[in-house]
Order: sequence, then C-alpha cells, then structure tokens
Amino acid sequence: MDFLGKKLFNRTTEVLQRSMDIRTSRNRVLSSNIANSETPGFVSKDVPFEKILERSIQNQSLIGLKRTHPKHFPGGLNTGIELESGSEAVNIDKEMAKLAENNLRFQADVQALVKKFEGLKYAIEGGK
Amino acid sequence: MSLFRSMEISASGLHAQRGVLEAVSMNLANAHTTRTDEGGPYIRRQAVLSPSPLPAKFPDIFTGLMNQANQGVKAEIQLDDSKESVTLYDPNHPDADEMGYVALPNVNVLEEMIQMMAAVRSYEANVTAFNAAKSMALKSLEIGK
Repeated sequence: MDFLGKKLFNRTTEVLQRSMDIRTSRNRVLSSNIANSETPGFVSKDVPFEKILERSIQNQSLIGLKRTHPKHFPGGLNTGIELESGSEAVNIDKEMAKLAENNLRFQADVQALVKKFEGLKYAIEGGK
Repeated sequence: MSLFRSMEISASGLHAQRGVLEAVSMNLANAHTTRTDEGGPYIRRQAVLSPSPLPAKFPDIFTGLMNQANQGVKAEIQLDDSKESVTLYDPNHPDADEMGYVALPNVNVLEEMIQMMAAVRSYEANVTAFNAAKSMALKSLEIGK
C-alpha cells in the first residue's frame, strides 16, 4: 500500500479484517462441534483466537505470504492455525455459548469497521 | 467464503438428525411387528453417527484448511441385534411357536421416545448454529453501507 493508503487505512482495517477472518474460521469449527455433538469418540476443537491474532499482529504482513510477483496467488491466509483439542465428549452448552459469543464479537468487528469508514467519509465530505 | 462452509456443516448436522429421527419413527411404527420378509420379528434400527469430512474445495486446499475442522456428520441406519427380542405368551397369536410364545421386536418404546427428544434438541442446536453463520454473513454485508 502506498503512503496515502497507509495513512488513510491504518492498521485498524487490517486488524479488523484479520479478526473477522479468524472469527469466521472459529464459527466453522464450532458448527462442526455442534453437528458432531452426538458422534461417539469425536473430540471437540476450538480456534485459539487471541493467539492467532497476536501472531498476526507481530508479523508485519497480516495478509499472509509475501508476493514477489504480481501473478502469484495470495497464499497462506489461514496457515499456522493450530486447533486446540477439547474434551472427548462435546459439551453442547459450552459450544452454544461460544458460538453466540463468537457471533456477537464478529458483529462488533463489523460495527467498528463501519464506523471507521463513516469517519473517513465524514472527513472527506468536510464534516457536512 | 468460509461462512458458507459453516452452513454446509450445520446442514449435514440437520440431515444426520433427520436420519436419527427416521430410525426412531421406523422403530416406533414397527414396535409390535411380529413377522418380516426375512422371517422372525422386526429388528430394531439404529442410526450410527460418524464424522464426515466435507469435500475439500480448491481454496481450502490452498489455504491449508484441508485437514482442519471441515467435519460434517453423517448418520447410517444399521440393524441393532444387540438386544434380545422379547417373548410374550399368547398361544392364540398366529406367529406363536409350539410352546405358545410370540417373539416381539427388541424395541423399547420408552428408549425410542427419549432418543427422539434428543434428536429434536440436536436438530435445534444445528439450526441455531446455522442462524449464527447467517447473521454473521448478513452483518458483513453492512460494511461500507
């Protein structure tokens, strides 16, 4: 991103983008736990959200692999995610609670992003 | 988009619980069937659940998600002959043996009712998970409004 782009869209958008990405993955894993809540021998899994976001923020590039050629595919968006294994039997109450929490936090991320863009728009229009 | 994968997983859960319900209905309907084509009384059906990985799509392989939790679920209906069939003394019954005993299916109606309630609850849980993915997808459409 060029200089102006960096000034306009600072890390807020990037971090929010990554956060929403992880929340989407987490939703999928939790859905899988709920679908398998009565499967014998199924071990519940979870996405360690904080760990992954922290790692993404520490690495300079939040959007995965560095591309050395414009025709390279963007890769590695979700690599490095190690799922945490939970208990042997799926605790359906816990999974539903996690699902609801994940959902709400995703909505909060979206709201933050919307407000960020609204602020930019407000500045562009000269505070009209 | 990964949220659609969540929806697919929830849908597989809904389908599997429907399978469980199907087995329960079959058992309840045949709780007193004393003759079948194979001979002997009806044998209880049991839905066996097992994880079933969703078919991997190109972006999943590409981003290294192939071996991660793309685990849907599937139900297979199998015969459950682990329990002995119950016998009832009824010499007037056309299917009674020489001693006057009729072999009844190994179906316990109470157990079936409980399994039915559990299947309904699981179904509801999957509906909730589906709705969560849906509301996330809808909310993300508000970006840039």
